[in-house]
Amino acid sequence: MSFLRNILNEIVSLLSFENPAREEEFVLDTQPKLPGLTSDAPRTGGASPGTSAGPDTEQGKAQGREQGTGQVGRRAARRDRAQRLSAVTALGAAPEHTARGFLRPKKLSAVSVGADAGRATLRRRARSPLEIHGRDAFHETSEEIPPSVSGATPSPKGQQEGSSEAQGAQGQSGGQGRQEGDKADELKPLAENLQANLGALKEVLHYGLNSDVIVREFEIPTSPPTKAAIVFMEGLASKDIIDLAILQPLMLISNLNKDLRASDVLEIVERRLLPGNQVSRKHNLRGVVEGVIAGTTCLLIEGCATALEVETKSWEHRGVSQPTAEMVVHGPQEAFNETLKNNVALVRRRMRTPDLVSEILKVGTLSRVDCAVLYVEGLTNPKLVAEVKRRINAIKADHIQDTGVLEQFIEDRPLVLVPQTLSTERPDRMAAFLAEGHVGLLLDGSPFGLIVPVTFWSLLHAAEDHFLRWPFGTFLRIVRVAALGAALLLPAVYIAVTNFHPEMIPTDLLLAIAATREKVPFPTAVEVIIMEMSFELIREAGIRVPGVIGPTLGIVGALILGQAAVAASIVSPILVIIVALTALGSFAIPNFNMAFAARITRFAYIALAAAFGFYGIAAGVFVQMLIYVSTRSFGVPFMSPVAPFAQSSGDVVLRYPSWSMELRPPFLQTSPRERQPEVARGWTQAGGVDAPSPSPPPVQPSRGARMKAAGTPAPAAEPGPQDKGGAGRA
Amino acid sequence: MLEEGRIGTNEAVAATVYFLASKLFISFPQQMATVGLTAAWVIPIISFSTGALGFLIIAALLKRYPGKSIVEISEQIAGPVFGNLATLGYFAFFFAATILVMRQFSETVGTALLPRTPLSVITAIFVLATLIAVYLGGEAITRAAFLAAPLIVITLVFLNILSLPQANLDAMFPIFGPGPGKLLYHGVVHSAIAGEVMFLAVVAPQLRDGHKVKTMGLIAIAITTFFTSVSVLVFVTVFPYPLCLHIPYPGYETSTLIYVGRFFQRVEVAFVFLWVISGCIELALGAYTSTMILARMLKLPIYRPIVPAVAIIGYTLAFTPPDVPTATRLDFELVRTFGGIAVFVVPALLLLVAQVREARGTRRGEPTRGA
Repeated sequence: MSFLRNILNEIVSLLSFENPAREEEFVLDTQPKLPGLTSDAPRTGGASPGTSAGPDTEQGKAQGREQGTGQVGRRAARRDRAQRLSAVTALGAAPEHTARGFLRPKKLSAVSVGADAGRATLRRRARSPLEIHGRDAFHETSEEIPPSVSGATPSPKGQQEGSSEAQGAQGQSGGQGRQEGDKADELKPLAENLQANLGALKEVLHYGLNSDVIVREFEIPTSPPTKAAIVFMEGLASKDIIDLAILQPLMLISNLNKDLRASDVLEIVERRLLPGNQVSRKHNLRGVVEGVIAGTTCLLIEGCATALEVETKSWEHRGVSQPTAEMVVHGPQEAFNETLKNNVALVRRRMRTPDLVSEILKVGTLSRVDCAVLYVEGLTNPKLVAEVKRRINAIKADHIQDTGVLEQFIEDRPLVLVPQTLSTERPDRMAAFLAEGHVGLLLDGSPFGLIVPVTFWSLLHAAEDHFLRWPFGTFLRIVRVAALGAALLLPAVYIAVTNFHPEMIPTDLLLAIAATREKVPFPTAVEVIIMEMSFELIREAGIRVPGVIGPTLGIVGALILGQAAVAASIVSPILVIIVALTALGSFAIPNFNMAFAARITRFAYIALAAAFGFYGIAAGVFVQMLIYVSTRSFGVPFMSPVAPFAQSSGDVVLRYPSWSMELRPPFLQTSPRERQPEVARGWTQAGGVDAPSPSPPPVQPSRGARMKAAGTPAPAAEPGPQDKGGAGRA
Repeated sequence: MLEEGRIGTNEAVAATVYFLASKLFISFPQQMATVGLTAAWVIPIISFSTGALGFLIIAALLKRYPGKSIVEISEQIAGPVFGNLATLGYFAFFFAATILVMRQFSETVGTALLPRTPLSVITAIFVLATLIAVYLGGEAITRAAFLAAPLIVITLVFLNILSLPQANLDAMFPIFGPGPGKLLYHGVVHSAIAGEVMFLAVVAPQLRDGHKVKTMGLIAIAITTFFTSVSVLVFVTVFPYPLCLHIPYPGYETSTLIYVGRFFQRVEVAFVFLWVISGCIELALGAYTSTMILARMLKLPIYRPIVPAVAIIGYTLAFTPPDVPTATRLDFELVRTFGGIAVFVVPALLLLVAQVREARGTRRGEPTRGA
């Protein structure tokens, strides 16, 4: 894999705008030849000895010193960089990924700033991505880098460990080239001097260049007046809230005691003068910057080394609309939008339990995006939650813009076609999965959420299955299984039957097919490939075409072109039917990623059928079965609970009545396992249907409880509080 | 410790059934008819019953040494020299059976589906699929077997039921065929047709419920006995003796006779599709068992490095018989006859030795650590 990666790096570097001669500047090793650096200046990026990178960081430093000022070959430089960057948690390492190479700062130069003895300052020139295309001017940042960094500072609460410790709050300046001092600066406490804080903030936020950054200095009418300032991002913060809830009370209130200390002023302002519903304290630069770029407003007060962050987020966003990819006839018509808080609220509206926990993690190094991890405390297996958080915290990428990207970073087997997470835009669906014991993921800026873990059977379920009565839900699932089979195998079976096994076809049908194929100049396999590729082209074009032309193009492409192709004897009529049925089958698969997997696998089956007929198809089915049963989603076998077999409620292939689904999925190892008692319809108990409204029926011991009593091995989940969210509900 | 996954109870039973019953789709019924004549359907009953007795002995050994496979147990009881000899016997049985079955399956596919495709290509596809399966491990193979279990059941049920219109029950008589004595003799001598049940003993450390191995084996043998005897009975009634002696591919020939209306005829291709999947599972199990035996004997920490070698050797040896009747005869008269010594007699001797030692109050040295 590393060999292929290196090949790819070579190709990309040849095609890139990079000047190969400047490759060495990308390598931190070459800093010793840059003026102004002392011999003690650290030459590797932001990881400190105390981080999880540990010895690698020291190794990286040693390598940097060894290479000194010598010219290094491009390949050797890349190799060295790879070794060090693997230890540099601050640099958003998946350093071998060439796609991100374009987004890194490429040029480093050092200018000594300040005369502070024993300290070296490196002024970096961070090349913005725009320069690759538009040759824009550099923008500069300067940071002070201490000669040594004494261990990792513990991350603040809610922030990830390890990789995120050294991730700068300086989102715009990119990940590459951060020095160890960056981490110290990011976590450096705020100064008591207002101007010092403002200076640091202005530098980080590129005040002057960045027209969105607003700094409003004012005075709090104490005696003497206390200087203060607010910093916010125009467009992300609500001006009304700022004016009415921050500036107005602070500027117009008087009668503050002249003998107040700065800390007292802070206390009074926080507790009495800021009517904002969310006010929190920030003690370091990173916390302030992250808050500002997220849309909050930070208040700095002269003499206080603490800033107050007031919730003022308000920006233009899309409202709650109908789902586009998971439409149902019977069921809620709400879908997620791009605002994380709205999405969490939509889920919370449906899961009215105080145990629904929404933990916010930061993902990304260049752009730190909020990612909400949703689970039900006391129900969801803590090991699953810990694993999800571990994987998210371990992501080293500059920008995760959508859950589709997030999914690719956390899935177990990236090379398998089948998805290992379930993507949904429906809050009701996410709530249903959370109630079963899954974990939900929402990303700020993405209208799709992720459900983990997922099984093959879940990918064939639709939200509507549960909203309909069980015969209809079961029928729809059978239809979908047949649709999956058609999407995968129908063209291949057609090729196998017509080419290798024509005796299977009834004679009349065989004669009809032969007659229609008589004038077609292509072999069946080529014919199928032509039609399938044409249909994929039409499908892809239909997504991109402007809305007004869309229906017209659909009619033109699907009907007229198909009819024209038949009339021109390029394809046979029956093949049009085959391809149409195949396409309908792939559309009937509820999960978009699963449908994609079927679309791609279909071509493999076409090739096998063309070469080996039914034998090839059978071998392909066998291999695909093997791949599916050996795939895992967050440790859960993909074909659970069928293979490996485990007793579950009737919600796997068929859908049993809702009142009989007493157990949660066994592979989630939730606590408790039962979601409802054996008799969930309490009205069917004592007295029959016509009896007066009974008191709550006694909870019957469920099958799961009886299993436990009989000595069946208990689930491996840690014991949690009982009767959470499910058991006992009638 | 050999890298290994975990195999559940249902998966183990399904895999064992596949391992035992997939022979129905090749020349096995014909071989039964060769020795049992009109009472060919009795042979599987006797053979599998004998095999069940043999498996009880193996289960007793496994119970005596929990958490160990038959390889480690053999070495622990018989010592490194004789233990490895015994292990080689197990390996020889499974490997020989696998390659001969692979040859027969390839020939069946070549005859039924791809008459103009070279046999080497057909066999190569089998080997490739088997290679992938063994690489993914016993966990994947057994789960695939369980997932596809309805396939074999539906195939056998439909094949037998739909063939009944062509069956002539008079062909069952004389009911004891060559005589009860000969039936018993051939049934016992060819008890190695149930030898694949030793698969459970090879993968015993991987079983999630190792203490239930006896139940698993007996259930698998019972299911296989039922389907096998019914299938052979249908065969000898559809193709009465002596016609049945000249049918090299009984299942295929039987399925060609299925006719349910104008649109449901000549469906043997669909059955072969299912047989191929069954054959792939059986071959994967055979290759996996052979590989695991070898890996445990050699005390390897992982078995995957030797998989390609086993596959290439098996592929080469599969072409050793000049034709399919030779392969069938080798399978039935050599492997299924003398193989019983390796898979049933040797474990019985080992159990005897173990019991004698226990009676004398001695156990041999330190437990052998499994590879």
